[in-house]
Amino acid sequence: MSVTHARVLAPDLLVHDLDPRRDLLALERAARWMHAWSPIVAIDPDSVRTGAELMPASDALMLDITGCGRLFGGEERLAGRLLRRLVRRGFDARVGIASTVGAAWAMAHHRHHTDVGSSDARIARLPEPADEASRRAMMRTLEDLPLAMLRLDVDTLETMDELGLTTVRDLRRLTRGHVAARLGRHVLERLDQLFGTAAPETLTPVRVPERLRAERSLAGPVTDPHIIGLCVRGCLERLCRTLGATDRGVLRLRVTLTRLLADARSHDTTRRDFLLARASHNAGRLWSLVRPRLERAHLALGLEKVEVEALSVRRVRGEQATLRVSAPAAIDAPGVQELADTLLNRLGASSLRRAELRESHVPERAASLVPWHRSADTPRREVMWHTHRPALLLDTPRRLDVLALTPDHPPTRWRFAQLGEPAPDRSATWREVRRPAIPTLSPERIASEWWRGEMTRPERTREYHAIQDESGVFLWVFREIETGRWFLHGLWT
Amino acid sequence: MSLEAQAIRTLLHSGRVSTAAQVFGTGASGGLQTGEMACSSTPGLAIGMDGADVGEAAATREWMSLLCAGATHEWLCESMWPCEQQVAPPQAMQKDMQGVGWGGVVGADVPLSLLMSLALGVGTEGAVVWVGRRVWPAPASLPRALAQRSLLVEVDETATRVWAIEQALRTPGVSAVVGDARGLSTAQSRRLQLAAEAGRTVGLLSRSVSERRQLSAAGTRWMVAPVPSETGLPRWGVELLRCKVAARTLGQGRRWVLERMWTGHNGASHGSLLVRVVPGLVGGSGAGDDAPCGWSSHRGESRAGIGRRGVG
Repeated sequence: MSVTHARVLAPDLLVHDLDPRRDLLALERAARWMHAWSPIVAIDPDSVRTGAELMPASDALMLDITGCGRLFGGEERLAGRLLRRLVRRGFDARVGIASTVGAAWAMAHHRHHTDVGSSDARIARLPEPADEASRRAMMRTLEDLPLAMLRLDVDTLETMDELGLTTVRDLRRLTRGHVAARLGRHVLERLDQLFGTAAPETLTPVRVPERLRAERSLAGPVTDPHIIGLCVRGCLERLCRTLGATDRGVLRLRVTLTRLLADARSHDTTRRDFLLARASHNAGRLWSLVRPRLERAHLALGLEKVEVEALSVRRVRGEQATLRVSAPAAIDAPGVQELADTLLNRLGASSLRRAELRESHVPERAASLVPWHRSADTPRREVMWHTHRPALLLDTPRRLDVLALTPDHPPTRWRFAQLGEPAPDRSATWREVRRPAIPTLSPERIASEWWRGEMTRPERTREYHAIQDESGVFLWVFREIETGRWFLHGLWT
Repeated sequence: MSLEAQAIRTLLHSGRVSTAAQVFGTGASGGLQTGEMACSSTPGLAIGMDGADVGEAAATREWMSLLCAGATHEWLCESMWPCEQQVAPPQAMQKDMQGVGWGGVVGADVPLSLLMSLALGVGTEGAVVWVGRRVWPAPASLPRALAQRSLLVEVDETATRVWAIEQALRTPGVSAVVGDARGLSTAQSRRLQLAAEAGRTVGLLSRSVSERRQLSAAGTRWMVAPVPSETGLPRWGVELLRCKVAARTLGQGRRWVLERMWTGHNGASHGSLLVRVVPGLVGGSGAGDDAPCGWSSHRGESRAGIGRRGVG
């Protein structure tokens, strides 16, 4: 049926696009919230799989409530409270409780609950059998279930439909060997899971990300900056204590202030994020970052709550005392770290960089400037380091015209290559090359790094010469061996 | 200059330099200029000097003594781009330049080699902060010791740039700040000078040649230009345009010729200098005779003039 067709039939139809990804996210949120009732909550693995294939997802959550019922006065009351909370949140849900995952899934999905004794129609509980009679009753209930409750794929279900099988009982009448041969082993597996004769299924629990936060509620609206400072500081110290115990440090910090607005009734929150150059669990350092912003914060009628949260944390390596008097830790000195934090928070994360060595002979790749917070904490292993590179390297080497005695000689005259129409300036005039040039440096041949696998645009082998221009400036020029073209790559400024 | 300092200087000239370094380290700290203290803490100046090099070492030391800590030093330099061609800044200047050495014509008027050498010579410890992309050296050219303690900051706007330089100058643990200081007002230069005094750091500020006449509170102001070299190593001539930190005998108008050194396999591994003063080419103090603005008036001629003076 098309949407237009449906709209004709029902004019007040609401149409929503199917979004399995968001469905799954919502399911995950619900799963996290379910931790109020059970420590182990899993999303039905089938729903995860179909979600990825952009198919209508199954929407089952599985809770292992072994032993949890006692806390709520029985498993049914637990389910009742859970359902009421879900309904209040706008969800429609059904609950199945059984001793196996397969049976619980079937009880939750099966629609008629007439034979299951329960006060709420949406809760179906299959009690643990106490004696032989109740065990037989349970078996009967399970055997009456349609085959669709076996969590099988559509193809298998169709095949069974063609064979005239409708309920679990039909399937159990067949010989197991035949079922495996005709329908596949997985049918037997599902059957065993339903009756609990197979090994219990494992649930993959949803992890709850730990929220690293500390908050302080105030008795009334407070405008005294001293008290606010004390509160925030206290929160930071508590947060840092938690982090310090596990050797972690804050990388992004969020401070949230809840203010009382001018009408003295409504509240709003204002939040500020802080970036740190290096992960830290030093409350004093965090405080020195937060304080200037806090002093400028608009407090309205006063603050009612302050909250501090670590949005991103990273491992902090402990400092070990060394024998060496001057460890090369200039950049990690507390003052410099503070400077980096200050600059980061005013100028942005990418405006602060440090040089990092790479294993490469190609000059533009031999070192790179990486954003400060992404740079490695410890220097990498020793890398070949050429200090005689010119201080100014061009991003794109400039083409040159060159006169040389023989093609592999250093140039005697040079000028910028005239591409297209002649330039109006003096770049067309030939310039002399003075002697001598840096004797130890030229020629230097740098081959292409074929192992990088840039097959589309293979690099060429370069032969570098340091030459002295007639003005006295030293230039770093190279010739491509394959093409014989000359380029200017750098200047010793 | 105090008596102790003069005694040490005499000692230097006598050729026993290795002991002089110790003297620098232990005694006489009150009488010496801070720049000289900075020199004394650089092992590169004292190590490996034999008798023949003493004159050169003394010249280098004398030159370095002007670049004292707790002050800012301004560097003026005309573009070293080999011809007067106007070129648009390279693409990578605009946006992202990660993973490649950057550069281009834009930075050609910053004496990067000298600034790098000075930043290295100021101290073996302490971070070096480079503020403004124009003064960022190509990362591959940084000596290893410097690369490990360099912090490169990208700022465009002048006011923010001044703020960043000031913050860095005031930070304990920072030994030198190399900053792009184009468009600096006199008041702002005073701010930076005060910050350097407060933090006992060295501020190396690159300014454009057009601002040569502008007043500033900086300790020294230098003009740099490349000089043709007979040895095959890059040379620059520096002229002291203005000086507030030292006695008149070291005063303005003096010229030096500096030469890039290559210390072999791995470059400077610790705080040694990358440049040395070429002793024979040290100019006299009478700068007023020819062009007062030094070497910038006409590049070709004045440079040749320096070379002639040195040889003759």
